[in-house]
Amino acid sequence: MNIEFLTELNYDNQEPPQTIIIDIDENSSIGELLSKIHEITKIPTYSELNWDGNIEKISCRYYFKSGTEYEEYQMIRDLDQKICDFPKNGVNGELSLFIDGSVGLVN
Amino acid sequence: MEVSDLLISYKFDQNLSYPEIVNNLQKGDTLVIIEDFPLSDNDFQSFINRIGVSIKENRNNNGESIFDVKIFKQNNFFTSIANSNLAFPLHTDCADLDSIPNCIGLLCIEPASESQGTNNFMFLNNLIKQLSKNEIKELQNKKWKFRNHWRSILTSVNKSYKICYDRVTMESFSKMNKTEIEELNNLDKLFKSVSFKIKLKKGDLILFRNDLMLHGRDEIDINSNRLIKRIRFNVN
Repeated sequence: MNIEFLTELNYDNQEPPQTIIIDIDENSSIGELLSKIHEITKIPTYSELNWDGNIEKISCRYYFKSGTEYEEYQMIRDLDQKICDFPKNGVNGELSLFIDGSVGLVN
Repeated sequence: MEVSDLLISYKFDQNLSYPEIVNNLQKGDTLVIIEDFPLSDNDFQSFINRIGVSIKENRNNNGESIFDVKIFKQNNFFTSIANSNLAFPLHTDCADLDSIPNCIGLLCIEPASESQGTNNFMFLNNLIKQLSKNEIKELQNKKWKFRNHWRSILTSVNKSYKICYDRVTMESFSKMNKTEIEELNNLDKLFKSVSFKIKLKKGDLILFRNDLMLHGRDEIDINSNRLIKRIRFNVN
């Protein structure tokens, strides 16, 4: 299936989303799909925070495009949810995802 | 000074005065606590809508203004420090964003057991009293990197000060030398020395200024069901 994805959501500097083709059954979980995307794109699954001698790995957060506006994404909380349950709001009717590994890591 | 002197207390449906609450937040020298607040997202949002303008974020519930502060993992890692069980040092929320909201509301849906997850607060007024003129100047002059923004810890606005501090962001997104780490260690000690603790009960809503105080929390048991609903908002 075709997947559209972004790794940065910047309203002032709207980068066009990337598109990749992933061989996966839409009855699989969104978590499986995201694992494949990580595997292909080499986007790390976590970022590291360091403070006062502490080091903590923080997972990137996943969002699906829930509407038609540029910034209309909602967080994916249940990675066991089926791919087919998510709306396809990409430019060409693909599933559109946003993988965020930088904003909101702290609070 | 007693903690009770720093709190303006209300009971929901008894003595709520919206203009008074707004006025207290504008002054920013007290915390506002409302007991017996309803536990629904709708009531929380409606209340905030009457006193300020809430901030929407994609990661909030349904992409709106309410965020669930609870232990949450994906890929076997916490999704933020807020969503971890870790102690969270005194900080400003959104210190790395373009625009920093000036108020925060935290509604306690489920407290952690005993003293775990106790909230810590520090008023900027009390910090200023501990600082010399030179120290204040240094905190105003030195810029620190908050991810994509260079900001000073103290700024002077209309003859009063505002604070921006988040050690996790400052240290994680920039390389610091030994002297800077030592500076932050000293600041953390100073902040802690003028901070105080409040343990929220179920149904307590606490409102406070994000630019005039720092907040944090104690460690939580990894299996805790602690749930705090958070709205960031601006009062004019």
